[in-house]
Amino acid sequence: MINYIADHQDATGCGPYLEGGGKNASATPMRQQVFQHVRSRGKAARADVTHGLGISAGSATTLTADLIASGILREVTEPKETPSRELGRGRPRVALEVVPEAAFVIGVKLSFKLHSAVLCDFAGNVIATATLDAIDKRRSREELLNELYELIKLITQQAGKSVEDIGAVGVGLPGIVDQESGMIRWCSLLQDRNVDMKSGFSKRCSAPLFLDNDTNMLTLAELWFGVGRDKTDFAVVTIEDGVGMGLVVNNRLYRGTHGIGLELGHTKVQLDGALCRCGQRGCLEAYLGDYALIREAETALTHEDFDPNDREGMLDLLFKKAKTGNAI
Amino acid sequence: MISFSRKPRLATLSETIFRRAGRFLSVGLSNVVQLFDPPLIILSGDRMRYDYLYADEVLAEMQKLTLSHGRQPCAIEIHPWNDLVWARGATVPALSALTDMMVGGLEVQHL
Repeated sequence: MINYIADHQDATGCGPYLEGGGKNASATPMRQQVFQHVRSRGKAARADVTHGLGISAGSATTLTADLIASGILREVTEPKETPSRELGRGRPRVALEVVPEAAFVIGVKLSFKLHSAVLCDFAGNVIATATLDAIDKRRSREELLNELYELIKLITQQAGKSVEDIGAVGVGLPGIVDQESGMIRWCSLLQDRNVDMKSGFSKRCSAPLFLDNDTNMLTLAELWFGVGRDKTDFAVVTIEDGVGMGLVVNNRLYRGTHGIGLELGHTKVQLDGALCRCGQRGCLEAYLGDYALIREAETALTHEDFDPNDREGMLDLLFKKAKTGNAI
Repeated sequence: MISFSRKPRLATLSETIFRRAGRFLSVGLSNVVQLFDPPLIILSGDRMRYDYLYADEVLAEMQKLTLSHGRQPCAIEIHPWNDLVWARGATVPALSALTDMMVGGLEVQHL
């Protein structure tokens, strides 16, 4: 059954629900596991932490006291709609929650035509959003850095903050990012290959910059804020200009060895098949991507119907024609 | 009264273009299920506004192409997110790194 989800599900808390119990849990310090447990639940009492992580009540008390003293967690009185067994005991239940103001971060999606940004607090709440119109052509590193910094200034202003308040910046872009070095091996927005964005960024902004392929970022959005929160494994397939894929295995994003990502769009579905923009033949993208549909649209539509420079318009026209044909 | 479209052949042709793309998507999705056996595949991206790409036939074709002896068919969800959801995902590495640093006491990795 296909489920069409139109609205973003806004549950409490953020981050994977199952992180504490995964195979990787032992590598994470217990103090951090406690924090992540509270963050994923939105609010959690010490007893929940004890049960959730299988630690003693004494450990939970010590670790949460330490996190409270560090200004990262705080106590909050649970509202009245707590389970009935908790009612009538005289004392309201005290829970813990993340101190949202402990840090602020920015997430950015860079793309042709439009860059988008979100400013979040430490609990993952969205404080502000902003978009910036962009040019529809390949650019130099400096041009892209200028656009990124302009967007960061814009969104911090909207949130009533300054750039110095931002603890870290994440950027998703269409391309291949080497996670070892942080170099952008290839990006459809950039003129050059092997671009070092980080050194240029650090001259403008003190916050560390985290780069990744944009489909990986969308996959992380599903893992932290979407339906992937309670799943240890799932896949995301994106169809935009090209065809991308993100994969979560055991609560973690699978990145492969070289950061090339899971290029579903370049798996071959036909030997010596249609020419792909990557230069090879028979890639899935060469049948499914925008340019594949446009190639066919140009042949199917008559000349008076479309403006050859308006690719988007051409596809929408093709879709309209397909739909009208269906209705009659 | 029966009415005829002005260009009936063209309309059919444009439909076949989308349906053909949908069939190739079936192949792609079937390969994903075959290799990774995920319980869920989320379909997203700007092109999800073309409903031919997630028509029932696409899913049926995907299942036909997949060896799934007795297995639960993989669930498919369509999430037509706008770019701000992608951007929100980009906050995750930033939040994770700050969590490692502020909570876990680790040096922030400039990755």
